[in-house]
Amino acid sequence: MNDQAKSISRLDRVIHEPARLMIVALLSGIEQADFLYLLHETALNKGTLSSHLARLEEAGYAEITKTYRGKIPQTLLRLTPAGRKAFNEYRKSLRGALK
Amino acid sequence: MHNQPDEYVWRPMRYQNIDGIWEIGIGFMWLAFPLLEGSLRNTPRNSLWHWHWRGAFLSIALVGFVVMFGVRALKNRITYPRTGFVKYRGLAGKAWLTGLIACAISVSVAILVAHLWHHLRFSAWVALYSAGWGLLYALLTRMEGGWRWVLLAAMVVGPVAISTLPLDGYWLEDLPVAWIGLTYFVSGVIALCLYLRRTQPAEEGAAE
Repeated sequence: MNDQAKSISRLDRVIHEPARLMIVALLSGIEQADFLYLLHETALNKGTLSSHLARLEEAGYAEITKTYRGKIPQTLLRLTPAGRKAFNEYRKSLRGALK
Repeated sequence: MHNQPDEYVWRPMRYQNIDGIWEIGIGFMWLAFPLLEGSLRNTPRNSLWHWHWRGAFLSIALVGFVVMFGVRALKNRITYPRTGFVKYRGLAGKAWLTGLIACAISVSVAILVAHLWHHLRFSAWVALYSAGWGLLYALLTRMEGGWRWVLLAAMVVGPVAISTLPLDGYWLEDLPVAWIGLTYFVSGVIALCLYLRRTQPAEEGAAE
């Protein structure tokens, strides 16, 4: 197996899915964001976004906190340290695969 | 769907001024300083508010406070209910590093200004100043929308034109600054109106 093929095989499947890649990339540059922001930026529907977030939480890559802003319920999302590490490694592997 | 992860990594940074509120804040700041200076120059010399270092310091603190809390209040009322809330990371949460970088930049600019002070004419200073704010405007807004080019031209050319007018000291120094503030403010208001037109407050439960 050549280096490029090895890099492709090493890609994290949880992050590699396009919608989840979009979510993780958006969260990687910030401390946290709410559900509405991700809904607006990704243009996914609520159900699809929720299921991708649940998958990321299950993998230990995202942390989901239910809270209130004033009297309005708010869902805050952030990447865990493991999620950040996995995303950085994914980017490295992707660059290696595309060389 | 875009394939480039880097494009999405930088998106939240551009989101900061999606509504033009930062432009309104900067515009308000540069409009408020010349107006405050003009009114505080006429206060008694021994007054706390007289425009010398004390008055200037108090004005900077007051305007800074209004801009900081004003921007936050507008974001809370307008932006977050429409397109969502984002909390930024800062420089990896290291406030001291941010302070150190800000100090280094301020000292470098002060040294550069002191070095060039006697070598440049007043109109050249005004041109340099307006070009700097024009550059910041282009970076902040990424010139999205043709109308921004008109405001950028007004921002860069206006102060230089004002500096050639036969005005006395105060007006000559402060009108170019107020002009830049006005262009930022107008641009922010236009951007905010466009944002309000293309977005709606989220329906109940959308943020859950």
